[in-house]
Amino acid sequence: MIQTKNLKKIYTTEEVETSALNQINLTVKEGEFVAIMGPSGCGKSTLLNILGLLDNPSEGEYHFVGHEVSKFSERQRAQLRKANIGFVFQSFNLIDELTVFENIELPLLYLKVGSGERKKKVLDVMERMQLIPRKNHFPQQLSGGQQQRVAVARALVARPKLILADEPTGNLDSANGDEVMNLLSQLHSEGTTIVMVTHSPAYSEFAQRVVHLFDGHIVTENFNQKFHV
Amino acid sequence: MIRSYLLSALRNLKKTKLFTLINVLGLTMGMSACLFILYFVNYEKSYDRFHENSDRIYRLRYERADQDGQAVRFASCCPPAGLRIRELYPEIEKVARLFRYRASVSHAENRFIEERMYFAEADFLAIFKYEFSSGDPVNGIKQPNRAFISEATARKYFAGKNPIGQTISVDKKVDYQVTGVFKDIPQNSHLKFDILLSYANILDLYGKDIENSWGDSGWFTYLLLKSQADPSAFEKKLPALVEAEFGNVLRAYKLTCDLKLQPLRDIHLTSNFQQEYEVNGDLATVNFLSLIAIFIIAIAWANYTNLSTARSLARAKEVGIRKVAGAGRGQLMAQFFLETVLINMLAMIMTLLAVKLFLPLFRQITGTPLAYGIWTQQWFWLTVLAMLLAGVFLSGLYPVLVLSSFKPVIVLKGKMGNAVRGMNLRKVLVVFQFVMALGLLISTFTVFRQISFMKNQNLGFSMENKLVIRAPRVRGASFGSTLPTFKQQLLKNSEISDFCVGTDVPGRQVWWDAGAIRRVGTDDNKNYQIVGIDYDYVKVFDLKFVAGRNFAKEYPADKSALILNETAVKWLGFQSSAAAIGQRIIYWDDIFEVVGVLADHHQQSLKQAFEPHIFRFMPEGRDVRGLFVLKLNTQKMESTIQGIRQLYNGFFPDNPFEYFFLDDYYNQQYKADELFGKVFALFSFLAIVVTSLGILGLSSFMALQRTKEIGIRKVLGASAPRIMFLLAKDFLQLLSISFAIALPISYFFINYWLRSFAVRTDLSAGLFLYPLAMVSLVTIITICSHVIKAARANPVESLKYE
Repeated sequence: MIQTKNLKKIYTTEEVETSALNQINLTVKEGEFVAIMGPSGCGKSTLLNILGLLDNPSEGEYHFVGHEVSKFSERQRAQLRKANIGFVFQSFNLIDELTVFENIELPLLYLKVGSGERKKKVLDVMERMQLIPRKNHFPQQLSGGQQQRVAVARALVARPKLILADEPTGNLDSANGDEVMNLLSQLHSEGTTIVMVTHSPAYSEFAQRVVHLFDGHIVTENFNQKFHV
Repeated sequence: MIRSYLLSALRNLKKTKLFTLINVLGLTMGMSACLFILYFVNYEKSYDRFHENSDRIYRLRYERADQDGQAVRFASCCPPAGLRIRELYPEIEKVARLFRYRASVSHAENRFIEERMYFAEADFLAIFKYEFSSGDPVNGIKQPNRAFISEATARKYFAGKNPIGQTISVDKKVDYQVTGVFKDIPQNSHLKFDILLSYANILDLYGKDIENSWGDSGWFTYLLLKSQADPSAFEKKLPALVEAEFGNVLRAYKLTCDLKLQPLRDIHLTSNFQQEYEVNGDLATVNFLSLIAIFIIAIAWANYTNLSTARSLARAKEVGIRKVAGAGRGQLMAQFFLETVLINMLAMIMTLLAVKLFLPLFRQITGTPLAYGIWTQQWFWLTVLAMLLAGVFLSGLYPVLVLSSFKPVIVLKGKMGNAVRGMNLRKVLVVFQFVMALGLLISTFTVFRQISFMKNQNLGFSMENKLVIRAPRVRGASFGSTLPTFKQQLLKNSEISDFCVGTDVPGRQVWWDAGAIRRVGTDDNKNYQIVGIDYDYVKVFDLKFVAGRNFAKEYPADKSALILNETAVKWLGFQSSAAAIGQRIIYWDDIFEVVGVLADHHQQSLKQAFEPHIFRFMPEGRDVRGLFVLKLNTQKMESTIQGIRQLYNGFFPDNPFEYFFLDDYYNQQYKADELFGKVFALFSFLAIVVTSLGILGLSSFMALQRTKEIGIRKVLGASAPRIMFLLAKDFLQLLSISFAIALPISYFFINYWLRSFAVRTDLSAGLFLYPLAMVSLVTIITICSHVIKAARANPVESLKYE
């Protein structure tokens, strides 16, 4: 599903060139759950943004579901993105002015799904996430854990092939964090591909494979034993 | 989809109440101001357009110049021009002439002085198709001694009775039978009249020879051109006509004479000549106001653009999320446009309400008549539509582009890399607003300064406590002896300290105008304004002699003596006032001796330069025309006037008693300027309110944006005033730049405006500095309101924002 070759990302300011990613060769197969770890500033989020088609690499190739996308325009990327990728962020990134239902509905709106089908899909995913009683609440009326559940629901509603999670538990206490991780784990077991950035060694245990980044390089890749018995 | 856009737009507007309020309020004020100004401007431009064929009707006017190029320019024409044109030029469909006649009109016990009465040729009503409620407009006044009257006049004289067939008496000398009643003439007509009399009767009054007098003026002449006729080609033929008819005479007097065509529709806004029926409008004022309308709406739109781009930072996250969720740029643009549309629609609804609410007040201030509606005007709805569209696209486009262009990676990380974006545009727009506000304020200050300057000028005569009565027009054979007795009786009353008679009083252009006046021994004929006065006129008005003496009883020869003013001395070519004394003047064919020279006084508003006046003596008892002037010395105005009325009615029965106070009358001339001043002040005020609304919104976002900076500075020990200065500094810098731009522009405009006044106030530094101080103050106060909040806040609050 994902294959990068010698991926590079260089940030240029007026005087300094900073290399955020260097020679990244990473492959993620369909149905895989990969965790990316590393200290602050190692390039985890940059990598995730490129994988998520939010940004272009400076050099190298990136193959996503059969397309070489490294030179895609924002417009092309947006097209590919909305049909294939769901995002979960550390800070939830819900729109405060929209209700739970409307937040979840958003990707379907932009995919121009008809209203009847939209409603059905949203309610389905809300039921799964146990969000039905919160349907008409606004994000600010929810706890952090609940907000992140809404964010996950929104990431799932369009049934994307890939879910990218950027420190999804970073803003949550351990109870809520566990809940979200269980959710992701369940999705994975149902066949969804997940790439997750995390600081937490405990939560990285949920992944099949852990990729360690340091200064823009992949330093180690560990396979989680429990998936390879 | 639309439902979702609408929902999120509505919730957004509701959530950011201050922003929505400022925008809606600003746009409402801008659009209402714009509509009100356009209402006034369009009313001014609507003059005479209601006439069928208004594009083919022209007024023919007359100019006479001497060899020095000194010219008199009349709104009227000489009597024969229209007559000849009717005979000679096939491209002219109809010609009609009018002559104004102010007289005392009566029917039974109802007596009034009629100011708006004209002798009119029958074709007048074929050119101008006025609506008649009864009678035959075409043939009704073809016969002599016939009259058409307006509905209001009919009610005045014949309350309840059928006016047709009734008679009215003019000066108790000639009777006219009413043969038609026309609807009252609309306000937006340059020519307003209440009574039309048969043209044939004017020839009884002035003799048939007047029809051949190329030297007379006062015959208002209208031409209806055939539809294929070319007016400028026709105008080019007129010099040949003048030459053929009048060339010899002109050469003998060393004069030139021109006939000019004025398109009917242009008369109200561009015509300012001698003998106009009324003071016309002013195209420059109308254009100036249109410009202000554009400025104000532009300020409001600039506000919208400014606030929306500034606020886009607050919406960046939403844009990021929507993009990540799959929104394309087009979809985002549609969403934000919808918000712009909603705000503009809301503002438009408020604007329409404001127009409805304030229209009566605005009409009252500007004197626009009720008859000129606003809701039925095509321009009104076109403007509403245009403002909506322009508002949405002009002010909305940029913020929409900025918003929809945010990169999700950046905005979702909370890195406001884009914060700088639009900063320069915002600065330009703020400068633009400041320039407008400063310019409008400077202009307002100038207008008011000029008006008060004019009112406090020494006019060269005294106008306080002067009661002016129209001299009776209906006179018995004994009038000559009645007048002195009337005067004696008046002066017995200790509340009346003086009395005089004159053909004109200051406050309007001298009506009596005579050409062909020159010094003996020269052939330099010029036009002078003639004022007939008695022995006491100079004393009553407190006029000052610079040379010579007044008319006096002990000089019986004063019947052929003249007094000049200083300007007339110059025009006649005397070296000095003293040198003019004893010199002889040819006035038509008589010889007069100059006995005195009076200092120039301001006969009209200070817009006008001094004009050459010649004062002629009107012997008591002879044909005294014009006005009686009474100098009052009383606190009991009501009873004094009542006493004068009784006396007047006793001495001059059959004459209406009509009076006015000279100072009111004189100051009427400034009505237009005062109106201009008021309108200007009103809209400058609005412009400043809208601008400060913008600054309020903008500075609140800037404070928000710099929350962290403020927190850090406070941790490092900055005091609240320092922080206030930090935020105000940006605006004050922009204000300085704006002042530098506004200064030369407003200097140019106010100079241009002041040039229309013969006497004008100096341009002092204060005119520019007070507005600057005012705008600075408003800016600082506006910024203070939320800076204080930011400066007082606990620094921890602002730091943990990250």
